[in-house]
Amino acid sequence: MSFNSAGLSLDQAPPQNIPFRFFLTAPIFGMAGFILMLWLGPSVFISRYHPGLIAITHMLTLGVITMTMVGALFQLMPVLAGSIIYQQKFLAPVIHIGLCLGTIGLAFGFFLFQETWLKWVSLVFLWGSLGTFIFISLIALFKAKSQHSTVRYMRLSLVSLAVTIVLGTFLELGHLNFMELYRPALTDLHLTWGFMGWIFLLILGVSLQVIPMFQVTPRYPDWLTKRYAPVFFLSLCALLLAVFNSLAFGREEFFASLYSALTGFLLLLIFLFMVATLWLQKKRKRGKRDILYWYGRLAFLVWFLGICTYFIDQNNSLWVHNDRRMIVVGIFMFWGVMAYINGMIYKIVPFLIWFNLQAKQMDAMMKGLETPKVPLMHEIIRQKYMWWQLSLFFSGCVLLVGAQFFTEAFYLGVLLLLLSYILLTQHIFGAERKSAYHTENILA
Amino acid sequence: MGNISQYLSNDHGTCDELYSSLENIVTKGDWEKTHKKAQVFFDAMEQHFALEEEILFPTLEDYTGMTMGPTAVMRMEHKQMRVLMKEMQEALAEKNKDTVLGSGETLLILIQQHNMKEENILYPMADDALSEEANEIVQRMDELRTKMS
Ligand code: HEM
Repeated sequence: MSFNSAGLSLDQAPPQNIPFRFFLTAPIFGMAGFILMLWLGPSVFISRYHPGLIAITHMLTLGVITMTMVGALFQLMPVLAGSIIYQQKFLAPVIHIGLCLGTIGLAFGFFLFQETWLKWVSLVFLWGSLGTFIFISLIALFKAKSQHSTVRYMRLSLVSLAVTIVLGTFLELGHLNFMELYRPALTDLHLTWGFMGWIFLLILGVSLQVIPMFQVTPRYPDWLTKRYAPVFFLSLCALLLAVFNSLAFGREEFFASLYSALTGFLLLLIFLFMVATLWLQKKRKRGKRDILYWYGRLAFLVWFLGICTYFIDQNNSLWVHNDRRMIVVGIFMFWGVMAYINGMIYKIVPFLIWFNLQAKQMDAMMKGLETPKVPLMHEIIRQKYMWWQLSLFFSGCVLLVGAQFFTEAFYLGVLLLLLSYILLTQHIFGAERKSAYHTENILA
Repeated sequence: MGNISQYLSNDHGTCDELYSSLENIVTKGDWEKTHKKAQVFFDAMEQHFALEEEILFPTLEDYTGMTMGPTAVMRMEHKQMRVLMKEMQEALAEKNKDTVLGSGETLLILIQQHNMKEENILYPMADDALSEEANEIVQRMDELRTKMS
C-alpha cells in the first residue's frame, strides 16, 4: 500500500473558486425564481402543472438546490473520500456554465417561449453538464481509498440524480410530443427520485459525518450507516418498477396500492432518520446552538408537517381541488430542503474563506513577511444578519402555505422570500469581497 | 478499525468534549473556571499533536520515504490550529467573550475537517501500512502521554 496510490490526496484541495462559483450563483437563481413568482402572481398555484410553476420549481431544484449541492460535492469529495476529481479545474467551470444555461433554458421553455428548439437545447446542456458531473464524481468515489458510509450514500445519491434526469427527459419528450406525457405517474416518480434520492440521500450521508462532529454528539447508530441506504434505495427502485409495470401492463389498482405503500414506507424511513437525529442532539455535549442547528430544526419541523399533510386523505374538504394537497406538501418539502442548504452555506462559505486566507498568510509568514490579521468566521458573515435571513425566509414560507387558502397572503409571502434571497446573495458576495480584499492585503 | 485508528480517534473525541465544556462555561461568563478548563483543553490538544508529530508521522514518513506528502499537510493544519489557539488564549486573557467564542468556533470547524481527513484517510492508511508495528506504536504513544502529563 503506497501513499500515492491512485486518486488519493490529503491536499488542501480544491481551489476556492471551484465550489464558490456554484455558491455565488445559487442565491441568484433563488432571487430570479421568486421574481418570476411575483410576476406571474397567485395563479401559478391553480394547478400543479401550471407551466410557470414548473419553471419556478426548476429554478429552485436545479438553480438553487442542485447548484449548491454540486459545489458542495466538489468541496467534500476530496475531504471525505480523499479522491481527486478528474480535471476539476477545467471541468468545474464548464459544468457550472452548462448547468446555468440548461436551467435557464428549461425554465424559459416552460413559461415564455413554447419554442421546441429551446427545450432541446436545454436538454443538451443539462445532460452535458450534470451527466459529466455524475460521471466524474462516480469515478472519483469508486476509486476512493476510503469507502465509509458517507461515500456510499454519495454514490447512491448521484445515481438517483441520473434517474431523475432520465425521468425528467421522458417528461420533456412528452411535452415535445415525442411520446405520451404520463401524468401524474411519471411526474410523481420524477419528483420522488429527485427529492428522496438525489437530495435526501445526500443530505443524510453528509449529516452522518457532520452532525456528530460539529455538535459533538454520539455517532449515528449502525442501522442508519449500514442497512438503511440499500433498503431506501431498493424501495425507490421498486417504486420505479411499479410505475413502469403499471404503464406497460395495466392492473392499475394493484400497482397504485403498491405505489402508496412504498411511498408511505419511504416517508417512514425519512421520519426515522429525523427521530435518530433528534435523539443524538438530545445527547449533545455542546451547549451552543448555532445557525445551522436552527436551520436544521426548522427543516425537520416542516418535513414532519409535509409528511403529515401527505397522509391527509385526498377527499378531505380542506383540499378544494386535488392538486392543492400536493402543492402544500411540495412547499413543505422545498422549505425544509432550502432551509437545510441555507444553513450549510452559512457554515461552509465563511470557513472556506477563512481557511484559504489563513493558508496564504502562513505561506507569507514562512517567507518571513509581516502579514495583517485574518478575519475569523464570525467576522466574515455576522451572525446577526444570518438571523435576519432566517426570519425572513421562515415568515415568507408560512405566508406561502397560507396563500393556498387565503390568496391575499401571496404577495407579501413571496416578497419576504425574495428579500431573504437578496440578503443571502448580499452575504455571500460580501464574504467573497472580503476574501478578495484580505488576499490582496496579504500579498501586498 | 485498527489499533492506531482507534487510539487516535478516541483522542479526538476527548478533545471535542473538552472544547464543548469550555465553550459552555465561556458562554455562561464564568471566568474563574474558564482559565482552568482552557488550560486542560489546550494541553490535551498539544498532547495529541505530539503523539502524531513525534511518533506517527515520522514512522509513516520513514515507511513511505515521503516527507512532503499527506503528513506535511497535517503538520500545516496543526500550525493553523496553534495560531487560533493563541488567538483564543489572548482573548481569554482580555476576557473578550465574543472573540473567544468566535475564534473557538473557527477552531472547532478546522479541527473537525482535519479529523475527518485523518480518521477517514490517514489513520486507515497507517493501520494498513504499519500493522506489524501497531502495538509497539500505541505503546510508545502511551509512554509519551504519561511523560507529558
Ligand atoms: C435535467 C433535469 C430535469 C429535467 C429535464 C426535468 C423535467 C421536468 C419536466 C418536463 C417536468 C414537468 C412534468 C409535467 O409536466 O408533468 C418536471 C416537473 C418537476 N420536476 Fe423536473 N426535471 C429535471 C430535474 C429535476 C430535479 C433535479 C428535481 C429535483 C427534485 C426536479 C423536480 C421536479 C418537480 C418537483 C416537478 C414538479 C411536478 C409537479 O408540478 O407536480 N426536476 N421536471
